[in-house]
Amino acid sequence: MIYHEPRAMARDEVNPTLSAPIEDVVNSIAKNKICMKGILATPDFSHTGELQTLNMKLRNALDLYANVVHVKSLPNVKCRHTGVDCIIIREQTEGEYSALEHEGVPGVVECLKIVTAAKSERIAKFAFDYAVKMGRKKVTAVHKANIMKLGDGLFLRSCEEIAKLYPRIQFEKMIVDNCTMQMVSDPSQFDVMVTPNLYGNIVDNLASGLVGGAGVVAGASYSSQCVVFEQGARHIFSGAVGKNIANPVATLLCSANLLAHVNLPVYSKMIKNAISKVLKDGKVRTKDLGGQSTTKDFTYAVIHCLT
Amino acid sequence: MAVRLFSKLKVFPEIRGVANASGAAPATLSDYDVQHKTPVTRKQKLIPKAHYGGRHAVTMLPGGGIGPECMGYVRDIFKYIGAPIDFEVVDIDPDVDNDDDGNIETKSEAAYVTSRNVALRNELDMYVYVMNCKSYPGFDVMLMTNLYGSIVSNVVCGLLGGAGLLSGRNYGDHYALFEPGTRNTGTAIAGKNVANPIAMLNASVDMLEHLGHHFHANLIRRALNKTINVDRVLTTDVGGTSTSSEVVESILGNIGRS
Repeated sequence: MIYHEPRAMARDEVNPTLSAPIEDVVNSIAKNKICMKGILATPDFSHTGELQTLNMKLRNALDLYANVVHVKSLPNVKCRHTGVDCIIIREQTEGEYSALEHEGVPGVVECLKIVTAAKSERIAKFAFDYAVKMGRKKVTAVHKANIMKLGDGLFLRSCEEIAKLYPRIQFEKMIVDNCTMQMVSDPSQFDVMVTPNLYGNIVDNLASGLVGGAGVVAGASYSSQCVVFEQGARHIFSGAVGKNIANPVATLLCSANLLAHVNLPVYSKMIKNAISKVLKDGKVRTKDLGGQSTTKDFTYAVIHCLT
Repeated sequence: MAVRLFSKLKVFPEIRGVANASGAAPATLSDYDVQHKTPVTRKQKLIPKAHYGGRHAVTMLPGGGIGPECMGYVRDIFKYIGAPIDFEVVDIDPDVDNDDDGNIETKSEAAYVTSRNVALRNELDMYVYVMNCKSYPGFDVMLMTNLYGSIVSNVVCGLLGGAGLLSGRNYGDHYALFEPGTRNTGTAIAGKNVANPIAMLNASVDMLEHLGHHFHANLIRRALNKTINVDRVLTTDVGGTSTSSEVVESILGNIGRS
């Protein structure tokens, strides 16, 4: 069995209390262009008055504007729906995540949601280009323009404008709450989805739940320069730390995507096939998928299946 | 801060005086003003007293899409069981942009048009939305902000069988409004006799309960239950083959037999 890691991975730790400064991390990623990232948790409150989370800082510093999560039903993982296969593309540098909040009058907080034509068009173009590249048929824009007429309206109009440039790809729009309902009742109707920041996060997590949870869905964030591979649903699962029970599938899929990205499709396929085989056999699976195996057992099982 | 305090001191005694004298807010204040600008006035009102003969008057907003047909079924059933409710129907047209009507679906995405739903809620200050979703373990009561609530209720509706089953309730301090849970208008299936009437009927049951007509509410609820779970007369969206009117007939039949 030949398996070697062709690129040395620079490993930088980011932790709110003891960590490498964010500049070092950004420099490292900017230099290597590729990053493999775990989940960074941020508490719901801030001691320092700092509103931006680490994730947000990282995204803004590197301009990681497009988050892509490919949600696909896995073999032999029992879920409510089978045959789910959709790509969710999320703008993640503006919108609700602007970190602009203030309490002008005690008891009244205003949060600013920023939507710009430039970034909306950029994400829409990314989504259509991605759809073309992956041979997809349809792009669905998720919005709430019936309520947020200016903000989401701008996003929607930008998507409509870009859609005109791609006549071969079908374009449809859907209001976010209806979208979530359609998602849980009939997810197979979706192909590529393009969403603003917050809705993307919600749809990502919902869709991950449909195919087996946060432990099995891989994602990636793109800027024009670099790409960060990370889990699709950002859930740190801190209850599982050190217990050897977490599901490694998401991270392993990330690594396979990384290999595909650096043009090593053979190795990528190898890992993906091995994961599929282990899941299909169904003998070794972690607790979240109804099994009793440990993280290590699963990883060794995947290694044994590498051919 | 000093200015704010001063203005408060100036305003409070007047309002308190008015509130104590009449026991209610002065008629000139809108409900929004009463809610937000008069902190000392008593805010809760009781369920409106029934009119002569124990009947309640209820405003009916059929809305767009499948709304009118579903409302028709509700009225058929109310008539059949003799529920003591008089409907005052306000017809609305989703394409109209003017502010006098309360159209429920807002077609326009123009910036100057507020969604009719939102306008209605603000005007009547209906700040609570309640949805009761049975057969969904893991959560008991979930408290959410506006948008998240809309999303979560839609997800739950999707899990339990689509837009056609569950009803939701809006409460303010003065009014209550009952509607299908997901607020989808279902324009695409309007007039085809395939819409699921269950959500609207559930909403009507909620309303009867709210007004204290438990007998009539139970009558409809039991019949609904029998139609869905025993007779299995279901519309296509929940895996059946029946039309809307067949479902309603089955419910009427069940009411008749009980």
